[in-house]
Amino acid sequence: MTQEQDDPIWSAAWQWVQREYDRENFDAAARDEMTAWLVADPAHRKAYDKAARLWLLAGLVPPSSTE
Amino acid sequence: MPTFFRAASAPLRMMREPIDVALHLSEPTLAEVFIANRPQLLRVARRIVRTAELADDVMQDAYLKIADGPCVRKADRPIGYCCQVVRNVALDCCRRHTVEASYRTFDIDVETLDVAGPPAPDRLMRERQAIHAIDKVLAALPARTRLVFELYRLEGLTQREIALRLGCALGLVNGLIAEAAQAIKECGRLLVDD
Repeated sequence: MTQEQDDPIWSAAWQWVQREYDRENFDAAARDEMTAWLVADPAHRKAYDKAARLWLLAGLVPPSSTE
Repeated sequence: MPTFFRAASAPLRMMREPIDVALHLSEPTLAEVFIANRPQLLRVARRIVRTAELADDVMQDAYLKIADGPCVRKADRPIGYCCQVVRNVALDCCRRHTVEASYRTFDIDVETLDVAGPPAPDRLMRERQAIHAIDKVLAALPARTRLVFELYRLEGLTQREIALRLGCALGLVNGLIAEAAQAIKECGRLLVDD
């Protein structure tokens, strides 16, 4: 958990969650590439699950009231 | 979905009757708005997930997220916020299922995968802290960045749709989203690994 910002696994996991959410560009090849990364190391899947949870939480913030 | 969630559905079933807002002296809570608009919210879930059973799971999960503890800030449009939560929980449910399905194509036994158990109270507290932190981080972003993030993440528009709506270049939209995502990324330190 220390120095998470510099953790390459966390960074890669966050990047994957971002790419996956971008549904216009996330094709079957990208999906395969991500799955290969996920199964390569249990730490990858763990970081991905956490990144996905963070991205879900980001979707639960109410819209800004200035709108 | 663990049975833990099922217990929480009782109030949903008992309070199906729409709440007459006018009779309330105070504004209805988000949970009350959720219950009063359950049929509409269920339709939102059903449009996203494949089965009625999954839609029920999504509704339970979304209800817990809304009813469990106060929201970060008061939502200007309570029903709009309830729809947002249901939609995003439903999309996350689809995402999880797709990841699991893709494991099967890699011949990995899904049974061996970790299935998330009921969240620990500590985890819920940490998630609430993370939402607060994300809200703070977003508030510090330039207005334009925040607007693009909200259209993308809260309303579910694609980058192309946002570029079209705002009349700006796709590359700019892409850059602003990356900026917001980079800011949110650091809030991950508040979540436990599990």
